[in-house]
Amino acid sequence: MLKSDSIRELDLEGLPHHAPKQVAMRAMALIWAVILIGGITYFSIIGLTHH
Amino acid sequence: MKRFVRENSLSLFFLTIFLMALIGQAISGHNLYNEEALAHNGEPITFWRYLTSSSFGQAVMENWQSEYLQFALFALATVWLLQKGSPESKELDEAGTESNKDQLVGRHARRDSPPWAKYGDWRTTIYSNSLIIVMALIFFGSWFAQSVTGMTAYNQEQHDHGDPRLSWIAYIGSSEFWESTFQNWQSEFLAVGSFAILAVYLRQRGSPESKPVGAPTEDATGEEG
Repeated sequence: MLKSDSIRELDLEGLPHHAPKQVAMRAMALIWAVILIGGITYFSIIGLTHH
Repeated sequence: MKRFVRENSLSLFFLTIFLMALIGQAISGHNLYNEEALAHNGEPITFWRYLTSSSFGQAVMENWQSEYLQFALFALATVWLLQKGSPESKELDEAGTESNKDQLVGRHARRDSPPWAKYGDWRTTIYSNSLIIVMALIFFGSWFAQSVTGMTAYNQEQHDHGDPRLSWIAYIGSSEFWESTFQNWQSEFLAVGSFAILAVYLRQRGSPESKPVGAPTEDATGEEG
């Protein structure tokens, strides 16, 4: 196995030195999840409480 | 920070214009609400009251549900349905859920595959359909939110006119609810259906939503073999 291949495999496994990259991507996904779940929940409550 | 922006520029761009459009909708919706209230001898409301109103909620939710229905249906339909020459479609001999080998699941999973793709049991089944499951949940959730905010907004109008209020069951069987629902669905189906066929003949250089500029019309990818 070439050294570069080895590095690529390690990269895909998300070893600690790549953790900040994964955290940033997960933060993006979390922002969208909060908007979607928050928006649907917020407006469901608004409607159900007859605002 | 610079790397984060570069790696997430697509999400960040759409997040920014989504928030700007939502703010624009809230401001213009509030103005319209008060213009109509004054025209009918009603009381204007504050911006904050509008943000917590069913009128605003219905306007937001009826658009959300149709967008997620569109994407969920498109992801599901393109498993089995094909459009020759479209970059949005698989090749004609690839219809269906494909083999485990093609999908890298169970014993065909790679070392770097997500864990749930490797198990080969119910977890792999769930993970194999997770995109549609989540999109469908968002669709049904926002459609429900549209129904309850729409019912409350409708009942406020009924009350103002001295007419009887509707229950939730009666409202989801009403023309009011289905007109606003179909109004949104038709435009989504039009856009997605026309995009699939337009992409057969038209190109956008550099976009993953398009095949390469020089790809033949009947070829979806432009790749040999």
